[in-house]
Amino acid sequence: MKRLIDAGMEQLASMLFRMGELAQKTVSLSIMNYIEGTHGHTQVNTLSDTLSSMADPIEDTAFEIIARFQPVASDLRIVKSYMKICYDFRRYGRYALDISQIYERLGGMGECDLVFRKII
Amino acid sequence: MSHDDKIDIRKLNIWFGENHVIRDVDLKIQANAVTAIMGPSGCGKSTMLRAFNRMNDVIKSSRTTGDIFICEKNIYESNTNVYDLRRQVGMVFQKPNPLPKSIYENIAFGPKIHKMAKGKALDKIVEKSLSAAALWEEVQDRLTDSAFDLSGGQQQRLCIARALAVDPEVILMDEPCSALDPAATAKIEQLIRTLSNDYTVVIVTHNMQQASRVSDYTVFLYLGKIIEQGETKAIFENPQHELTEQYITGEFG
Repeated sequence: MKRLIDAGMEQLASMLFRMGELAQKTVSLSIMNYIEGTHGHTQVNTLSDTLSSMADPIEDTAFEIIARFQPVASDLRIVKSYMKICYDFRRYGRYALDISQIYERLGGMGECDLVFRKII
Repeated sequence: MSHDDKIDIRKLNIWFGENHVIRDVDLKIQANAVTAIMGPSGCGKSTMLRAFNRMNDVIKSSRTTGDIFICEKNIYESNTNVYDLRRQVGMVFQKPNPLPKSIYENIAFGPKIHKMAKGKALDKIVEKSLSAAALWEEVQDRLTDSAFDLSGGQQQRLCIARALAVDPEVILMDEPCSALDPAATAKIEQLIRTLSNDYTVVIVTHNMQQASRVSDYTVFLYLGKIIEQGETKAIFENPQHELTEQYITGEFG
């Protein structure tokens, strides 16, 4: 028999899965832009913002599950893990943005040596 | 038995007629701590609790084997005085059961029959017990009122005070909050935590959140056997046995 908490846990997992896909896409895009020398800062910025905004409903749902169902044992550990993963996915968005900003400011891989010489 | 253990249960088996209710239970219960016994209906929680002050003896079909040491004395020895034992091991039941007497008489009843005190000394015991049960402030001006005039939560605290009045070592509580509303439950839970400073408290509860809130140690009983026991935090966060995990996450029960 399905437990009341199961619906909430499934919803949380599905939200996190979607966030994970977007986090992967955002990081891949920013690395690709950097390697291939493509200007994609705006797009990465938008994706990073989307990741940030996706984190809040996930945290809200996790807190709702804790408050309403008071999970214990594996349920509690899963909710805790989801919250940590959610925070990490949000962080991926920030790092992707950092990579694209570095490209915008310092240029791509090809310009690395030049910039480095200037700094010295 | 270590000095920290107040109750030491060895190879406890209890039958009601042909029904083998408690099976080979070995358990040590820590002094000055709250131990919660949890498990599904019919698993033997209350039977085990009632063995601690030999209340199962009054049931004709019951048979008990094994030993229970309380304060290093085997309570199942033939020379045990069960009246003294029940003074030493007090019990609070599911529903408040005050005596049909005044608030004062409810508390004074035990010390009187055990000839512990009279006069002003008895008054002091009444005040001390009601204070320890966090009820004195609420009833000090109405000690002669009937105990039935109190609310359900107050009646339950009165029953706790009545158990404390005879200076017990151990307090047994069989689902003490199941008939109370959330506010009264919160007061009793707070009281249980406070009592553990001076007494050894064993509580039977169906409410797992309550067990996790009030107890230091938890015992999970299933079909009369102890499946898992340990610190409450460990049992509720990371149980080692699959049955415990299934029970506390609500997969059965």
